[in-house]
Amino acid sequence: MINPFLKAGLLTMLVVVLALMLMSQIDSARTSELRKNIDSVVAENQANYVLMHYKQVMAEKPSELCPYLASLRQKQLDKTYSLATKIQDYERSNVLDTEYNTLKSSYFIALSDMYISAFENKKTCGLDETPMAFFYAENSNCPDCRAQDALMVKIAARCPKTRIYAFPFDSKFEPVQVIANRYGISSAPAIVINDKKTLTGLQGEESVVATLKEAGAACT
Amino acid sequence: MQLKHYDADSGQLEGAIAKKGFERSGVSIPARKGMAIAGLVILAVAVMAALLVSYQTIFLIYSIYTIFIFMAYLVLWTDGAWEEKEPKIEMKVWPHVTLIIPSFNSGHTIFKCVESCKKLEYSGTYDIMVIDDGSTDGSFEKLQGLEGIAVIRKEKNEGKSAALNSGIVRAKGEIVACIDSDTYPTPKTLEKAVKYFAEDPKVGASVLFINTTHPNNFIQAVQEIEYWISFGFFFKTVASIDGLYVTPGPMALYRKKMFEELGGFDEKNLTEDMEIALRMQRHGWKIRTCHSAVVHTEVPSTIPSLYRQRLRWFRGGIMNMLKYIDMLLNPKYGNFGLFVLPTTLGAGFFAALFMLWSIFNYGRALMNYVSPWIGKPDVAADALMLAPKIDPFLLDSAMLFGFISLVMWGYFVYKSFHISHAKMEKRHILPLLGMLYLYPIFTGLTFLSAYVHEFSARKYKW
Repeated sequence: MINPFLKAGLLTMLVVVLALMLMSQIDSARTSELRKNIDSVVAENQANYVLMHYKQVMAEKPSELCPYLASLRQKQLDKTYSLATKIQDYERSNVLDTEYNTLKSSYFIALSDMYISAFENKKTCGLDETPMAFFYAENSNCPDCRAQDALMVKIAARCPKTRIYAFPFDSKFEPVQVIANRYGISSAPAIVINDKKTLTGLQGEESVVATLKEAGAACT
Repeated sequence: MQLKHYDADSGQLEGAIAKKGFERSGVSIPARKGMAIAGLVILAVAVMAALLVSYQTIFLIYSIYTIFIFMAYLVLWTDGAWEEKEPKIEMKVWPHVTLIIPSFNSGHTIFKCVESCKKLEYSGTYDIMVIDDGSTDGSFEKLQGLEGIAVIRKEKNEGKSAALNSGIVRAKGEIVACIDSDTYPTPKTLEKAVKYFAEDPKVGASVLFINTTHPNNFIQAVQEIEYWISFGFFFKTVASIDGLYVTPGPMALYRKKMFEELGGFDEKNLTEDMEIALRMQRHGWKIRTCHSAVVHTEVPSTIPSLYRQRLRWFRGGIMNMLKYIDMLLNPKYGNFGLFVLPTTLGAGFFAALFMLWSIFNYGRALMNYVSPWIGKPDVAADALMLAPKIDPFLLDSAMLFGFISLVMWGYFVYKSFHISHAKMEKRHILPLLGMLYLYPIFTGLTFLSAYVHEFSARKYKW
């Protein structure tokens, strides 16, 4: 008769292998869902480029493109918002999949581009938006960032015409590094309102709202 | 007759036979201090290592370890542990049995205990001996009035082991049954359990199926199920590979010859029932289990008393594990050394480690949540309204492994109910959930506390 402990060991191995296979299925299902969303954001970014290119080369009246740009922008913003949290949560609960770095890089590159094009849009089409760049720390434990993040959600709900673009200030992606360097961000959390006013350290809801009002945003 | 004195510190027995026994097994009792320091160092290194890897990795390793242990139990169970192997022996002569009941201020339970001992249905003869360990609650005087029992008074309170030893010395029976004063055997107990001694002269003890009395509150209801599982399923399975590491204190039957050879109970031990079982294992005596002999015992009804009881068990476990450390992972002792000791007494070490690490992790998470608001009144007012975000649908992939061991545990529970002939009822649902979610936390914390107590060599208060 086979040794019961050997039998148990073999059975355990079998169960573990099966569970790992199932686990990788769950992980990759999550990844593919994210990939689909991020891919569409990237595609919309490219559509945006095509429109800008058209404007430079062929457009007689640039303002005729504004409705198209605005609709593209709206599509993207609806998605990116939920994507940011999803990437973070999935990354944490994920065990086997290693695709998150690639996904993150496309996400942050797309986000940087959206942040920059917000200002261009303001110039050419008079986009009514107050962009807020919110910098958090990715590579170090930052309790204040998490606290600030929770407050930012509340602030965005009070000021409908503001948009939050959340970047890790210590990111390894070049476009994000360029933006962080522009404002000289060296610690997190930090908020830059409308490319001008920089707030560093954990900020209360009221002080951020007051700064937003100064910058001309409509808040309740 | 005089019992050989068993010296707890040196692990030495008086007399030639005993010494020979010890030499045969090559015992060397390690110095406790050295072992304690080694244990602490291992614990510290393990915690440091654990902090370097992610939550999932630790959870995964711990889960796989659990799955292996459960799987081993499952295989042993299906391989034959499930059978009730009653010895098929025609008993020509039933040995005389002496029931020894140590009693210390147990006026509220001892009479019921004596009563149920008198009602035992046994084909042979038996006598009841109550050893009063210097009671001051008047139970001794009342006991003297009872018929059919011998009451022996010790003026000085010396603890349960000493009381039992003084009873064993006087016992007339070939078989000695040690019964706690808060334990009530069912009538068939002796008849069923004594048969096991006739099977093999090397059977030194016969262990019974310990159940709780009918539970009065939630804490006892949890223990009711816990006793079914641990003394039911797990004991039955461990016994099938001759691996019992404890002869439960509430009631167990011993062969008197075993005590004559190995000495009496260790009077300096917190869990003398575990110590004698380990000593029997080391010297090749067998321990049998009899699940048709049911014994009911009183269990703690409050968390503090449960904590004190478990602290004593776990400290005793650590103490005895260190004392018999040479048996751990020693192939000479077969399945007992290689599987039973590491997965039962040794598992406490992992439980404490996992607990320590969890406390650290949850503490850090809590600090991360709280620290930003400290000293910032304007922000804190807002923050209090923001609860930490938890998505119940976002399951950790590693949880899958926890789920597998949960399913296996469910099967063990089902089998335990089967062994104890208990029907699963509505009243069992909450205690089962309590056992699933609160018990690991309670046990882990108590184990941790036991380690701290034992390593700081704090004196035990009974």
